[in-house]
Amino acid sequence: MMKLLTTRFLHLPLGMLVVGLVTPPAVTLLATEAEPFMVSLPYWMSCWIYLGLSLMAIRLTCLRLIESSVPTRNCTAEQTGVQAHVRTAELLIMGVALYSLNWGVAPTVIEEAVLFISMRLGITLLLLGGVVMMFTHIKMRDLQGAKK
Amino acid sequence: MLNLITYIAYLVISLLITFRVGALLSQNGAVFLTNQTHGNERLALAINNLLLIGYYLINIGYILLVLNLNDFTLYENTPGMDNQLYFLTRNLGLVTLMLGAMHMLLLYVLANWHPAKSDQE
Repeated sequence: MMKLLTTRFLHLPLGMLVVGLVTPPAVTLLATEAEPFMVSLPYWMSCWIYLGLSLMAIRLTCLRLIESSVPTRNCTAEQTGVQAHVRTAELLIMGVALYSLNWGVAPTVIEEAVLFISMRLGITLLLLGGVVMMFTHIKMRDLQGAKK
Repeated sequence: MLNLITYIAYLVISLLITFRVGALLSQNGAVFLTNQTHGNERLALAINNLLLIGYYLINIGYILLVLNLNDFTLYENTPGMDNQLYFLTRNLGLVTLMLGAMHMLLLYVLANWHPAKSDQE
């Protein structure tokens, strides 16, 4: 688990989570008079936590897809192709994730923030699941159609 | 605050069910997949892993999405925890139905999948 957390794949998502979680206490401690700024802190936290979690899910899935892609005869070409497709999917899903931050009303309390994160993360994970299932389906179909 | 506790309880219960069912299915499905791939264990393991990742992603995504189907105004004037219990039972029911549907779909797909034998075999 620790080995996984220290891989360079997860540096950016973990950094995002840290920014999202550390900034609110820091602002509260440093700027006690900044009342208007505090109102938007749940929204700030939700956005960063959501982006961190979704990027972490995307990167872990990509890592697993590249590592455990179905072995075929032409390994090098196959792996390069897989990596290209996986990177494209990663970019597309991250684009959807960033775009979705503007949907709906910004949360002001923790309960709303939980719903804000869960809805967007749910959509992101469903999209990722769809990509994985499609990838598996294509590989299985290729194996079924392979000549003896 | 009660709503937040209900959300957390729902997430913990549904994630526990999902991970337990996923582990059981992958454990038992590995034997079935090895048979389908004519004894090629490496191939069976790769497909098993991919299906497990897809299963986890789709189910966890669905669990998080269902969290937004809350209708806490339904029993607004009723004292007690009627809203929370209604939310928990309905959503946990939806999650278990989804898990069952995914399981049946995967069984159907794998039962109809007959890979060709490779040259090495």
